[in-house]
Amino acid sequence: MHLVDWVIVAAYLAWVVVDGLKRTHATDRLEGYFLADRRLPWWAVGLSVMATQMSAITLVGTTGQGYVDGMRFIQFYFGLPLAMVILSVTLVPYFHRARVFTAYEVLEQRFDAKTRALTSFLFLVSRGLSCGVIIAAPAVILSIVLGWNQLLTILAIGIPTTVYTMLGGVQAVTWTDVKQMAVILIGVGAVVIVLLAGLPADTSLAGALHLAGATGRLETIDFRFDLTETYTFWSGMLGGLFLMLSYFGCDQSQVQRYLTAGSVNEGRRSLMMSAYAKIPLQALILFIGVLVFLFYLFHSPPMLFNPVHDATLRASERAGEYQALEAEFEVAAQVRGAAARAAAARTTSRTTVRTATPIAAPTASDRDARIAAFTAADAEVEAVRSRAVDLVREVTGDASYRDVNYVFPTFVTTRLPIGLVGLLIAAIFAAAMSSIAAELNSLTTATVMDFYRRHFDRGASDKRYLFVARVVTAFWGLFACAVATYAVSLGSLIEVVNRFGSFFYGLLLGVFVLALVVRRATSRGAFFGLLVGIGAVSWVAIARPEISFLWHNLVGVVAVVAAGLLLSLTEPKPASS
Amino acid sequence: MAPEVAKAYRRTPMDHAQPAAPLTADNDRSTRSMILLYAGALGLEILVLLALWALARAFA
Repeated sequence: MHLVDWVIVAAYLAWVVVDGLKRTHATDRLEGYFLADRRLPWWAVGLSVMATQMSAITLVGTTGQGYVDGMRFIQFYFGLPLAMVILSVTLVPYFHRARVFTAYEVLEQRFDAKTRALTSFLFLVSRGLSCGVIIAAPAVILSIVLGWNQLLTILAIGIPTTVYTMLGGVQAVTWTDVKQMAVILIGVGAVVIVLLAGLPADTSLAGALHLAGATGRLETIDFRFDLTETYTFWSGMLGGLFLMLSYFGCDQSQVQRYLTAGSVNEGRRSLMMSAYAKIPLQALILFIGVLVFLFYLFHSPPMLFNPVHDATLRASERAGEYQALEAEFEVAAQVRGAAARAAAARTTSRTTVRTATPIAAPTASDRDARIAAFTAADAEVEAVRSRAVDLVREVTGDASYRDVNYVFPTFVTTRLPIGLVGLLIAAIFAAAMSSIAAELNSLTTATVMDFYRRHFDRGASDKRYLFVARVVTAFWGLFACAVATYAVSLGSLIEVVNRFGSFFYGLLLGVFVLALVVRRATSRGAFFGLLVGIGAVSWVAIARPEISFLWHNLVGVVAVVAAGLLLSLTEPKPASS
Repeated sequence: MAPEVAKAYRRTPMDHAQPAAPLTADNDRSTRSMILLYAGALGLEILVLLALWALARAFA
């Protein structure tokens, strides 16, 4: 990386920490520290909601998915807009009027202290662990691509974030989220421009898109109802709907965002910003992955995107085998490049005909033959690459190795101009830090309000609680960094986080459905219904691993609500109040 | 029935979720604008899905 890029990354890190530390207005009071006195503008809260959801895994992993698998992953978000509308009508006004600090407080108002404690504990476990994964993902990738020490990279992300979250509370989190979101959007916009400009002069965007279409990378919607398929229209609309309802409605890291809004409608608007922008933004990020694929059709691609594994293989006993594969790959990539140029030139020919050059346009069968030649050449490249990945697994013993997370960072560091490399690395840092800060802040709020203040030290001064809150933030920051050091070998990290989430989210949502919708539900029913739900999701996850994790959300909700209701019915019906 | 159970029933959350303010012209306007906001989000999603579907068909 060039010195200019280093300066940009360092300046970004310094700017975020200094800006976060300046946001200390009213942080000497509990409501100011945790909820910014409930008076932040909706657009800042909305950007914070989006920044919290968009971690570095989203930015790096999703572009990698776009490169490898195309745009099918977008189906994961299909349930989001409807979830936002449902939450805006139900939970947002409820939380605002209940004047709570955490989502789980309302469960004590409705049921009892142990249901609140168990639900909050589930949140702490799931978020505490996933916070570590969220640090690990960019740390592993950046350390490999940039040649940094892995532990130092984890600390470079974790420590500044912990420091400004600890001192500035939710205001530091929200206002740095706003700026980090701006850095991400500028970075994404810049990389799209570079990728479009990187297409050869004789290839139009339409021609290039036909190549992406021929490999199936533009296929977005799969209507098959198949429980074993992770990304389909139905898993996104049903499983995804429940995941989003739970994530935005029952996860403190999101609920705390819109509790800081000035009114019910401000809170609603902040959520609706995601309903409007999330799918288009996510589609754009996936499309960047597709554009990177197109870029590498016309520019020499690396056989492996992970430079450390590349170096390991070169130094191993099987280096000769690896070099032979590399030579084979180079030839296959050249053949594919020539086939791609021939196939993508067809739109240009049409234009030429329109401008009256007397060259006949290619016939439909010519075009089909060229596309067929391209797809055959692409399959050959993929076959060689797949053999190289197998070789990596055999030599390194890393059976779960996949290239997907290294595609985008490698592209950024090897193909972008000086300055933009620094901007994009800063954007990856920004995406990581914005999510981690919100999670540390919410983990602290739940720990202090649901456990420390509720069970250990009632009626202490704000000063005392704030001191404890800062210590707890430091603890969760260190805990997340410690988890991150162990989470580095967990395969596709975006799936790891979503799997973690899907295990717990349905359960949380089930308790809130019992609380909000089922009048007959009792405290005992809710508590034991939650325990039954934990058992049901565990059984599905362990005994039926072929069922996609998105469906765990639905299983969790149904199990908790059904068991909770049945158990409640065993209690005598109360007289009408 | 135990008094705490009866108390829990009285605290059914949807009771809290009732409109806190009286129905005035301002509230009507606010409700209309929120309904439009919701309809716009769902409408935009349908448009985006159609656009993605059309993109896949156009370049298949």
